[in-house]
Amino acid sequence: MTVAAPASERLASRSTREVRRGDRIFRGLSVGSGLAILAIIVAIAVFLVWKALPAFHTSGLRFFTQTAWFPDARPARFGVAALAFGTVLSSVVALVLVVPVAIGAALTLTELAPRRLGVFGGYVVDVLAVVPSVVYGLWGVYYLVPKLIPMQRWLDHNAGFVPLFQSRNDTFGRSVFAASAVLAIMVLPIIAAISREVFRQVPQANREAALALGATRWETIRMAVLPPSRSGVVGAVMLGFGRALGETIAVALVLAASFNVNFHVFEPGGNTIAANIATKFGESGVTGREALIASGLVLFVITLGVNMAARGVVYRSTRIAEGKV
Amino acid sequence: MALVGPVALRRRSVSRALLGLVGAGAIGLTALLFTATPFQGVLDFVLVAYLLYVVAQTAVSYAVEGARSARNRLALTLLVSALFLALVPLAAVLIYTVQRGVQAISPGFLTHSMNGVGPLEDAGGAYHAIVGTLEQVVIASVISIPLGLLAAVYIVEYGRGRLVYWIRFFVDVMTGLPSIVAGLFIFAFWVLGLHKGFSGFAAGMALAILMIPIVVRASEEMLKLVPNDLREASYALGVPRWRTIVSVVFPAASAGLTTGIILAVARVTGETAPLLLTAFGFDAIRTNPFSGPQSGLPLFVFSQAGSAFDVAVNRAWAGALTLIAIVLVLTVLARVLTRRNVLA
Amino acid sequence: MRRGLWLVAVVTALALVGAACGSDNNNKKSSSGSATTTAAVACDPGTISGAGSTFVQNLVQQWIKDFEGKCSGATVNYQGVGSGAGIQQFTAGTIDFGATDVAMSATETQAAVAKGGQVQTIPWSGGGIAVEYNLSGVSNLKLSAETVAGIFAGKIKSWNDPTIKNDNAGVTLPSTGIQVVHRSDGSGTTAAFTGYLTAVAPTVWTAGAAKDVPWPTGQGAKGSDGVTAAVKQTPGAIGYSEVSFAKGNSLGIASIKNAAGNFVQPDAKNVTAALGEAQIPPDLTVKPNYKPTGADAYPISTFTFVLAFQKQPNVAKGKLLKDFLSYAVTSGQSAADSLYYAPLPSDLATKAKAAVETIQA
Repeated sequence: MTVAAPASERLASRSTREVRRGDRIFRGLSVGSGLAILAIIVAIAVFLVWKALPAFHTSGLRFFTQTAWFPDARPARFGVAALAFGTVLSSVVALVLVVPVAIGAALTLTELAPRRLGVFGGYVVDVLAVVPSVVYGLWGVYYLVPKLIPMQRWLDHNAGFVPLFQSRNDTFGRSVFAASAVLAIMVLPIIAAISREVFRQVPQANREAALALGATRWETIRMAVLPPSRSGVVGAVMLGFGRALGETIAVALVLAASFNVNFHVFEPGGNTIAANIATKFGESGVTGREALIASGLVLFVITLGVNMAARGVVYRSTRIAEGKV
Repeated sequence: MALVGPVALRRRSVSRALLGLVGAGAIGLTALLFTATPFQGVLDFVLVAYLLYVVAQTAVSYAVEGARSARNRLALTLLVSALFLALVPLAAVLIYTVQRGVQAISPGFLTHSMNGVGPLEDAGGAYHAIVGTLEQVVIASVISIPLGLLAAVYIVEYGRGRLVYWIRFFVDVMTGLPSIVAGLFIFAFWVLGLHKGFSGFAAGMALAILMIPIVVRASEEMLKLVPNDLREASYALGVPRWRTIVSVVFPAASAGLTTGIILAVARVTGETAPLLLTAFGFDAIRTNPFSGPQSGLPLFVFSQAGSAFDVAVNRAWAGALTLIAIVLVLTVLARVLTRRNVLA
Repeated sequence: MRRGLWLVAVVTALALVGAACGSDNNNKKSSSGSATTTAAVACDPGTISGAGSTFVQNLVQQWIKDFEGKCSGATVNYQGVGSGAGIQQFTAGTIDFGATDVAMSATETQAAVAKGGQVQTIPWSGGGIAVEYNLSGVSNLKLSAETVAGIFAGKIKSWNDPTIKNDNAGVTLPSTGIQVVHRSDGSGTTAAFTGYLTAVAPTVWTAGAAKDVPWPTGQGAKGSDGVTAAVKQTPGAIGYSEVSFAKGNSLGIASIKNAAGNFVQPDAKNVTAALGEAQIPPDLTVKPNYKPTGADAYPISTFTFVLAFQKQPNVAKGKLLKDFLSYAVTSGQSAADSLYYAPLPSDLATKAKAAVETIQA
């Protein structure tokens, strides 16, 4: 007995040490992975800034006001003004097209459809999210663009006094509007899926209270479901906006690249930062590539801002919904 | 009348038969309109008939049931229409791609590269691109799955305080990172900064950046679903924490984790923009992902799609069909696994 | 989790199995037309690769097919990645030869020389740039230099404009608006086309001559592919591209009025006639003469070049490179016509052959 006790103590302390070491290593690995993710975000910013600096040096502040893109010309002339404008314009038009549809679809799935159908519909909308953007682009060019032309022409001829619907040279096709339509389809699943989550988090008691007061189903939705979901839906829309801003390939395939700044969304032309990188990359010289990286940095900053704001809004709304605030 | 709920008093409501009548009337009137005016086309017909139906339904409801009910019917009809409108493009994309793809695909397409194929030749295929995509996705998975999984473990099992908040926040922000920016980063860092040149490996790294946040979020959700009782039972048996996580928590969450990972793989398989700046594209078979430019299936579709020649556009459709098939099989597989998930 | 690993394993295994059954060989159909020359070629085994100009891609691929047919054991790879990327890869030393439509700039040459020593810039083919259009009912459009410039400068806006009518007496022209389509990426084709416009109509065309210019009008499209596709899809459109793209899509090709006053098509012999009037500098970085005086000379013609280091770092590869380039600038020239390129004028071909000989391997 007197001999056994220290032996077992020794054993216990050894295994405790081993356990501690195992835990330490595992903990270290997982903390390291978490930190690595932060490091990647920092590295993205650092390397983009580093490789973009020569381009900023070449163009100076005109980088933000110049609309043309001739980085390899001598003297170099380039700026993101037209690109940034086109990026925001195409995404905003996409949102105008998609937001009512996405929210309506999400409401139908959560509030109206039988539960099983709602789940299944959710799957189907999710499938929209995994269809690769290059397929949307291909489909956009060969299927959607020709189909949209009669509608655009009709609007131009009958409502052309509105600059938005006017095509000054009576041509349609690979326009900002067509690109926005493709973008709308691509961001629909994001907005619909997040809105669905938000609506689901509204307590059932809210709905029952409204129904008990004799409200119709629409009144229930309007008075009991929408108000507490507002900030969550706003966040969902902003996330969709962020996605649309950064979409590259589909836009590059659909848009007729040109560097104009106007609101005639039916006219072929317009360009976005991301699509411009995809089209110009192959033939760019040294300055050209630096300039493209600089434009990518601008895109990174814009989307980072939009996403951070969106996440902030969604976080706050879910915490309100969960009763944490 | 305004204060009395239509739910409570169902006396005067529009019957299904009446609605059917309204629908038939709308279609009939549209047909009449189409013979009398220059309207044409199936799409126009459906659109006009739909609008007529919505208006007529609301009017009938207003007359029979009152304003509130009419508003209710109108709103609900519009909501359901929104769901259909959301599904129309999905159906259109899938049907059109399959149609064009099936016409264009040939047996040689999956076994030949584009090496030495002239622009007007109806020859060549996507074999080199498929090989490239497989390698790039495997590289991306090897990097991002352990990293993402461990980060999720940190968030769920170890983390507390500000650090977890910031990691979660930035993982979410990273989810919204434009794929072209991920490509630009690897281009600036690996291709230009370290002078490594274009390669399949560079593409794998760019895809990994896009895949990490998806893996983290999915794993986090799944690990959170594992009941604490399981962990506590394990601790009570004297099993150390890390072994508990590896041999109790992971197996319990395995189906969900696999689903999340497969969905992440499906997502990055279709990414084109980062490949453009990292893999760059190559016409011949290149099995070594470290040795220079490589192709990838989405990149193949993109480069063929821009062509003016029908033979190349056909190859693009065949490639798109192959790509959609791969991605959809992965998605369905993930869904099947979710059904088996004991936790969900 | 385990199932996931299995999946990865199965996929990887499939990939490895698949790697054994794919093929790079697309030569089942025997190459047509050009393989008729019986001249033997110098032949060394090995593999070389090149990249660059998309303009010359079709021709290089034909050369590779024919050359490999005559020289078993030799493999030549060519990727049409664009002239800019070609120069960059050449300078980085990742390829054995580069191809570009515009000779390297001073800074580019400096970077390349610093990397691998003296660079040989050798013209290896020529080609015409077609002004392609999509106008139903008009099959033989004729355009004078000022009209082309006016259209692309956005000063002539509709197809029944008097200036176009003047060029096309007796043809009924529709009142359709003109849709200009130009390249959205930098390109040697644009450099040659705008070089032509600047040379022949400096008062009308003021946007300059470069690989990318501030287009006064129209929509952009990526690559000659994209331009041709856009012209094909848009009634009333006009664009410019290599002849092969316009021919391959059966688009209308405008006849251009030359200095002799004739309206000519960009046929191989007309292009070669124009190229023959260029001044040849000692370093062979020859610039086309956009105002050729020959009766049949097609004025919008340009050269395209191959880049190789004077002193080859690898003897075996260097020998194969010399063999391939010699083939290209001699018997390979006969392949040009059927692919809508133009063979080099004979004196330039001789000088190009001599330049190939100076490569040390």
